[in-house]
Formats: sequence, C-alpha cells, structure tokens
Amino acid sequence: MDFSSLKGFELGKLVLSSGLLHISWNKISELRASRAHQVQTPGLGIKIFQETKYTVVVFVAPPINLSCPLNSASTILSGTKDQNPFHFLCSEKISSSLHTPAFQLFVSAYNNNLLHLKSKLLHLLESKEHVIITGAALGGSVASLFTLWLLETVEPTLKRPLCITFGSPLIGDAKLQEILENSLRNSCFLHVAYASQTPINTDFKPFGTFLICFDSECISIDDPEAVMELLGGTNTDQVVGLIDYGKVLDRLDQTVMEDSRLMIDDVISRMDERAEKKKLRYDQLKKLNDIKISMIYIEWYKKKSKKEKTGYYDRFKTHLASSVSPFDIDIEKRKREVNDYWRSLVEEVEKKPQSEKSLLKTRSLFSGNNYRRMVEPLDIAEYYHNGGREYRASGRSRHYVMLEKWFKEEKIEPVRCVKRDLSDFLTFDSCFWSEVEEALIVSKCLQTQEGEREVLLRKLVRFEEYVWEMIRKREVSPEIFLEKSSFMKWWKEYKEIIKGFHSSHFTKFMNDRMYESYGQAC
Amino acid sequence: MALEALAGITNDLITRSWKASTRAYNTDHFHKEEERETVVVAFAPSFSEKDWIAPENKSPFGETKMKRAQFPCMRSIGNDVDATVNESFLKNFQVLTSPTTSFCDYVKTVVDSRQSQRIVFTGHSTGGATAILATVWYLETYFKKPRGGFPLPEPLCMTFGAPLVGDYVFKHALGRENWSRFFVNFVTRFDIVPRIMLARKASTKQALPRVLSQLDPRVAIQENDQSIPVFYTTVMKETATVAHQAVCELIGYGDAFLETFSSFLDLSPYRPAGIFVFSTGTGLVSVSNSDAILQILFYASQSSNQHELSLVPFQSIKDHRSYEEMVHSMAMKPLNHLDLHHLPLDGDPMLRDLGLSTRARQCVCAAFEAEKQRVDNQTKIYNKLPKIVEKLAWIEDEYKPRCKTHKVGYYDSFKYSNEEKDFKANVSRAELAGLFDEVLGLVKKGLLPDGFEGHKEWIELSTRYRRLIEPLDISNYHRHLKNEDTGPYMLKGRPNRYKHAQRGYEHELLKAGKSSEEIEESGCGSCFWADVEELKGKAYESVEVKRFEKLVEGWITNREIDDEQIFLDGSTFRNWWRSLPEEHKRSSLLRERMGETRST
Repeated sequence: MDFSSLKGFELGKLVLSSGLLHISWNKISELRASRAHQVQTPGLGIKIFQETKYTVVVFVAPPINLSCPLNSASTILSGTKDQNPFHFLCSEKISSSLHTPAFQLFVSAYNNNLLHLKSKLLHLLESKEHVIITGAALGGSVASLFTLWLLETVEPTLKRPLCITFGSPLIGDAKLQEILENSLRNSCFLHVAYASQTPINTDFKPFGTFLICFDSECISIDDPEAVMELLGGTNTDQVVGLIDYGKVLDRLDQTVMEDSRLMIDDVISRMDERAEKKKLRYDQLKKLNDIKISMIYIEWYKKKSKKEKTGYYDRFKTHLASSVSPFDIDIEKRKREVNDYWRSLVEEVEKKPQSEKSLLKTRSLFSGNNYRRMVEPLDIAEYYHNGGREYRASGRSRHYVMLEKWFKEEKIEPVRCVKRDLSDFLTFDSCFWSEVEEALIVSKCLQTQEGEREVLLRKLVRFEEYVWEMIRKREVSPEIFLEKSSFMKWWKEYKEIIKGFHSSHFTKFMNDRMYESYGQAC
Repeated sequence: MALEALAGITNDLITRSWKASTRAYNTDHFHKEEERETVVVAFAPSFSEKDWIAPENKSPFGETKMKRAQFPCMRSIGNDVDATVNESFLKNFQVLTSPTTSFCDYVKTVVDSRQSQRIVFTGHSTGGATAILATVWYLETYFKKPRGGFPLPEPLCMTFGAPLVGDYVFKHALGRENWSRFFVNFVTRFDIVPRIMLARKASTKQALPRVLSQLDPRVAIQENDQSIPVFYTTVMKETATVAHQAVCELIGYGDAFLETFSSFLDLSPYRPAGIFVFSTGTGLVSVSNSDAILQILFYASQSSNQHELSLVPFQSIKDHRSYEEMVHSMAMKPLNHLDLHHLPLDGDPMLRDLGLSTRARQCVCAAFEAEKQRVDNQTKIYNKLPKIVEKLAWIEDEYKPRCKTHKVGYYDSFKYSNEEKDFKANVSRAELAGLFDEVLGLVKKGLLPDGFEGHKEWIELSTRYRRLIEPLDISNYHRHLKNEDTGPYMLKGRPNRYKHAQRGYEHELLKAGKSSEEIEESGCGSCFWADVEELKGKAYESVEVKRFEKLVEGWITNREIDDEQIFLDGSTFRNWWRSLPEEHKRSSLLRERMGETRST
C-alpha cells in the first residue's frame, strides 16, 4: 500500500482541521481591511495580534506584478555580518540568493522595527508561547524571511515558531534549500498554495512543508521536487495576492470525506525514490558504533606497537613498505573506514547553517578530537611514505582542519591533573609527526650539504624549540621517545650535527635521558 | 457469536454483566452478584459534569498522573514516566476504595474464600471507567505477584460505552504486564461517549451538562435539542485532529514538521486500551490494536451519505442508550476479528457496516503495518540474542577466570588493558553497547511491542548484562580519566542502557513484593566500582564507608557483584580498603571477607 500518499493526505487533513490556517487567514484579512482605506498604502504592514493561545504576527505587503522583471530576480547574499542580516544562512561552503522584492522590503523595515519585534518574539518563545508568523503573497515571503532571521537566534531546545504563508512566491534558491534541508528550521514553515494559481520560478527552490490545495482536496508534502511538479500549474501574468484563501479553506472543510480523485501517483512514486536515497545517506550516521569498535582496534594497535618499542607511527610506516601481518592489513582497512566516516560527517556539518553547527559539534566534538589525534599520524605516515612533502600546508585533508578548528573554537580544554600518567595519552598537535619528517629531511640536506647550512640549522633549532615547548607543557606522548621511533632517529642525527656548539634545555633533557621518566605519574 | 475465542467470555456472561450494570444504577458505590464460580461487580455511571471533568483540574483534558505508590505497574520503564488518567474517573475510583465503602473488603473476601474462578468488573458509561480502574487496582493488588497455592479469581473488565480513561502509557503498561487481554470494551457504532475525551474540555464544556442529561437512559431523550449537533460537531472535529495526527505519526515517525506543528495543538492524551468490540447494525468487530481503534472511533462516525450524516448527531446520543438492544441481539450477530492476520480488504462488508471508506481502511492498515513493524523489530532483536549470550559467556567463562589467575580481577585488568584479552573484552563491550543501545532506542520510541520489556527472558538477560559489563564501562571511564574531565560516573557518565536495565530489574523486584523503599535503599550493585573509585578519591569518612560496606554485603547476597573478583589481591577495592584506618578495619563488616581471601 502506498503509505506516503496517505501521509500526504492525512497531514493535509490535520493541517486543515487544526484551525491554525483559519486563525492566520482571518488576521491577515483583518489587517488588510484596516489598510484598505488608507490613502497612501505604506510598503510593509506589520501587526501583532495577541490571542489567548497564540500570538499571531501578520506581514502585509503591496501586491506584486509578475510581469515586472525585477520580481523574479534574486539577490545574492554576501558580505559580512554587519552588512548582511542573513549572514548566518551562508554555510562554510555555500552562499545563497534570495527573492529580490521580498529581500528589499525586509531590508527597508530591518532597521526600523524588526529588531524590536524580534526581541519581543524571542521573549515569548522563551516563555513557551505559541508564535505564528504569517502573511499572504509577498507579505508571506517577507514573513518567511523574518522567520528565517528570527530562527537564527532561537536555540534548538527552545519552542519553535511556525511561519504560515498563503500563495507566496518562492523566496530562495536551491542552495538555501540545501542548507535548510536537514535542519530543524525547515520544520517551521508551512506554505499554503493553491495548485493551479501559484506561480513558480525555476530559479528558486521550495523549502519547508507545503499544503497544496486542489478544488476539493489537499495534500501536504515537503519534497521540493514534488512540490514544484504539483505547483507547476500556470504561469500567468496575473497579479498574485487576489486569491481568497478563506474561501479555499472553507470549501475544503466542507468537502465530505471521500476518497482521493487526484492523479498524482507518478509524482508520489518519484518522491518515494528520493526519500529512499536520502534514507541510505542517513544510515551512515548510525554506523557510529562500528566506528567506535574500529577505534578500539587502532588503540590496541598503538599499544602493541609500543611494546615493540617502535610506536604506532613508525610501525605503520614500516608496514606500508612491506605488508606484514593480517592485523596490520586490518588496521589499514579500519583507518580507511573511520576516515570515510569522519570525512562525510564533517561534510554534513559544513552544510549546516552557521548557528546550528554547535549542537552537532558538541555531540561529536570529543570523539572527533580523539579521532584526529589518534588517526592523523597514520595519514601522515602514509603521506611521507608516498614521497609527500610539507604535509601541514599541502597534504592535510580538510576534515582534520575543520575538526581542529571546531575543537579550538569551543575552548573547552579540560583541566588536567598535573601528575597524570601520560602513557595512554595522545599528542595534542596531531601534525607532530609531519614536523618530525620535515626535520629529518632537513637533517639529510645538511648531511649531503644541499642548501645553505645556516638556514637549515635555523630550521632545526626551530623544530627543537617546538618540541621542547610541548615536552615542557606535557602535550606530547611519551611514545615519541621509544627506541625505534623516527623522532629518536632524528635526535641521533641532530646530536651529531650540533655536537660541540649548541646546547639547550632540550639537549640536556635528551642527553641526560630525562625523557625516560617523562610522562610517568609523579 | 464467538467471543469466547477472544477472552473466554460467553454471551451469557455478557448478558449477566450488562444486567448487573443496569442494576448498579441505583446503588451508591457498587453492586455485586455471585453466581456459580463467577462474581460480577458493577459500578454506577454518573451523568453530572463533575464526574466527567474534575472542576478544579487545570489540564486541558482534565487529566492527572497516576501515583506510583498506588499503581506501581502503571508506568513506562523505558521513558520512566507514570500513566495519565482522567482525574474525575480516578476520584470516583478513590471514593470506591476508601474506607467508607466495603469494596476492598468485599474483593478480599472473594479472593480469600477461594470459591470463585472469575471476578468481573463492569459498568455502563462512567461506570465502565470505574470498572477499568477497579480492574487495574485488582491486578496491581492481587495479580502482579506470583502466588503459590490456590489460583486467584481471574479478572475481567467489561465496559459498555465507557469513555477513554488513560493515555498511551496506561495502554502500554497494560500491554507490558500482559493485562490488556482482561479488558473488553463494547462500543456501538455512533456512541459519542468513547469519543468525548478526545476533545478539549474548553470546547465541550458549555454543552456538556445538557448532553450528559440526554445520555442518561433513565431520562427521556429530546430530539430537538440543538446543543446536540453543536456538541457532536465539536467533538468529532477534535477527534479528527487527533486521528489524523496519530496516523501521520504512524507513517512518518520522527517527521520534524509534524513535531513542530503538533506542538501548536492541544492534542488529547487519551488512547484506547484493551480490546474493543464495535457493534453495528449487522455484526460485531473486535480489535485490540489501540491505533486502529482510534482510527475506527473517528471514521466509523463519518458517513458519505448526506441524509445519514444529518442524523448522526442524535444517533450518537441514542447509541449510548442502546446497549440493552446490543446485548439482546448479540447472539444472532457474527463476530469478526480485525488483526495483523485478518487485514481488511477493500469493500469488506464488515468495514462497510462500520462506515469505513477506502481512506479509513488505509488508516486502519497503517496502524496494523506499524504493529507489524514492531513485531519485526522484536524478531530482529531476538535473532541477535544468541550473539549477546555468546559474548557474555566469553566474558564470564574466559575473560574473568583468566584475569583471576593474575590475582587482579577483570575490573582492574581492563583498566590496565595491557593484554590481548583486555582488548578483546573491550571490543565485546563496545559491540554489546551497540546492541543494547539499539534496543533502548526502539523501546523509547515505542517501536517494539508493548510486551517486550515485560518478557522474563529479556529482563534476565539485561540484568546479566548490567552486572557483568557495567564494571567494564566504569573501568573504561576511569581508564580514560573521564571522571576528571567530565565528572563522577554516576552523575555524568552512566549510560542510559544500564539505567534502563536497572529499572526493568527493580520493576520485577517490586512485583515480587519488595517495597520501593527497600529497593531504593539497596542501591545499584553494578555501580559498585564507581562507588569505590569515588571513595578512593576522598578522605576517609566513617559513616559513608560503613554505609558502603553494608551495601556491599547486600550486593554479594543478591549476586549483584562477584565476591570472587572484588577481594583479589590486586583489586582497586582491596587496595582502597587496606588504606582505611586500622581502627575502622578492626570493626569492619568486611573484615572476615578480606581475611578469608588473604589466607587462601
């Protein structure tokens, strides 16, 4: 049985029987009527109706003529926070564009009264009031923009407002839809549209949920493609805003319940196919537990390598050169698996609007950070094994950069006990080993006398200072001092190079083998 | 009629119950009839407003929470919330069980006399609501404990046109305890009463007193009363909203728009519980799927026939007064079951009698489809049980003994995690966590059959899991020093899967007759190591340590902790105990246990 069309119809019935549409439409009519006899109609009318159960905010705008070319144009969102009120809608990768007339009306009112309105509504939402923001035609578009702007400051845990529009033109492009798609904000929009008389503009893409009204029935769906297909009625030159939705709703209300006569099966089945694909993508997030298990394997790999006095960084590098045990091969597979997982997770997060990231981030912040510190060294090993250079600048995968950035933004470095035993500890700077590799390359140059000696030596001293700083702060894992590690290899070479003319805290620390007790609980 | 197949009830029993229900009209509290091995207790309905909607109640549907002390089973274990019921109905019931009536004593006499095999609680209208709560009370008082010796009279609750009494949790709890089968509710097709509770009291309040007076079969009906169509339209409009919302939730669980939109509506919490038998002109239909019943309650009162539609409001009153007729004609009518295995087809005469359209049939099917999904989810979990058992057995039979040979115990061995076996145990721990988290997720969202959490097998397995594996999670928590970063395990770190397993276990203890105070006092043994870690980090405090030692004794007796492991030489627990002041150790409860293991 086709349950998705059933859901569409039942959701439509629910929306209709809830009475919320009637409340909104009545208030719009009321405000329109009160403006009708004004001599000069101002651009944008806003009024708050305080009802017993709901607060209804109505936006009324002058009618728009579709034949005017400006009315289908779009404005690209750009600029910094102070210039652009919709700055938050640009995600780290995408910037969207909006319907120009709606945007201009919004901007014209922005500095006057919208800020005040916003803080008032936020206050209501905080006290769990029901806030409905509504408007018809262009007024609805401005209501949508206002709601988007309001939602930016609505915490995900707070009560959400509901924006109800009637026959409003689409206001955003595909990019905006993409940003909103997996966001809770998308659930705050209900667009009522009369199927045969709602103009669509193919430059734009719908977001939110639609109630699409036909003559005697209605269906409620949120799939943007299906909405476009069902709305693709007429593209007349008619002035939008003249449809009396009050009458449309009454007619739908009075229709005696009978079975659907709509022939939209093909639209629905295409919608189902898309939903199926989307589901597959979501299932990836359910893999979290498998990822945890793989991390346990990698942790064990690290421990085993330590026992062999190599460290997992060098063991991984060696085994890449000559594959040894099934265990090593398994670890390589698991590394790929966790990398894939985090890469796609970071991509998902990056698509979210700026202010919504925090929620997702905190959930996986610590595990993401742990992953980065644990696995990035293995990627570095692979990179240098394949002859790469300058990892930090040109070899690093974007998802590591983002994970590190987000973690640092939160500034929640836990207070660590000074005396803590560091044996299971992961080096803070996950690019540490690339610094070691670079230092090894420099040492080699010095031995083969390529390049200017002074410059190369300065580089090595800088590296030495970098390492010393981390040792001093206990931010580096004691495993770097394992006998067969690349770091110790570097130290042996470095010791020869500087013999007799350079000494420091670090050289003393190394020469006196003080590192042997580094990281032990004291 | 073949109702016997359903709950072991005969036409004769139905007739007797109905008769008793009508005789109860003129009693104050209850009316009893004893015949052969069956006792029938009937309750009087009330048609005054205060007995439907508690005057001082502030909730939009006159609802209130059930008290856990009085109804310990009527709650959800997964989400840890108590059931909600109509406050007026609950009050009527409280009066019944108060010392001013002889009801409790009478039931006790029936139970103690060992003469009866069955006790029927019955009633018409709100008398039915009282019967439902009285049956729950009987089940809670007498039935939940396993009793040896003589069998208890089995309860049966039979209602005629009763209003809805409880919410989803109420219905879920009855299902979990396998008690739903004791509740049989007869509803004539258009009867307004089972639908009234689906509307907000604010919208029905005005017309309610008038309508109630019309519902009373002792009062002559006034066909021209205009408050009736208004009342009917209001109730059905809100019933529609509830039914549409429910079906959307069944199909598109977790839909964000549905969630946001629903938060703007006052939706009735009441849901059908038990078996419903709908009576139409030509037959009877029995349904036990609560979601399907809800859809039928809405759609059966619809009609595509304009003439019929105009008559429905008055019919909705008349039908509440027509149970006498229903009982009389029952023997001649066929009974059909509507369940997972008997899904309705389009054009089925049984559905036509109920007035269900194609859309209505689809909604009913959606309810059964959701039930099928719940059953499938349960099957998937059952298929995973051998895997769970295998992993637990490895920890129990391999890992623990191997750690013991090193005299450290598996808690501490896991904390060091220096050996391959610890790594393997860690993988098992993570795999089990995944499985149990998945189950908890399904339980919390109601995506498993109601009975799942009540299955003995599951309770035993999850208890075994909690006792065996939680120490490893605690060990892992402290191994990564999360107690320093995040906070104490008990406050910040304890996974919900263990809390859930503990609630399920404690619920069993409660049913076995332990008081909730006793259960509360005995604490949680699987968190033993978390307590040890916390005590270790603190200065010695005699009262606290003594209290803890007493708990440890109890946990050993209840097999919550393994006394072969915790006293081992290298155990964190033993080392901590050794560090206690000599004076304490001399008089310690555990002195002997500590000594015993030392000598062996």
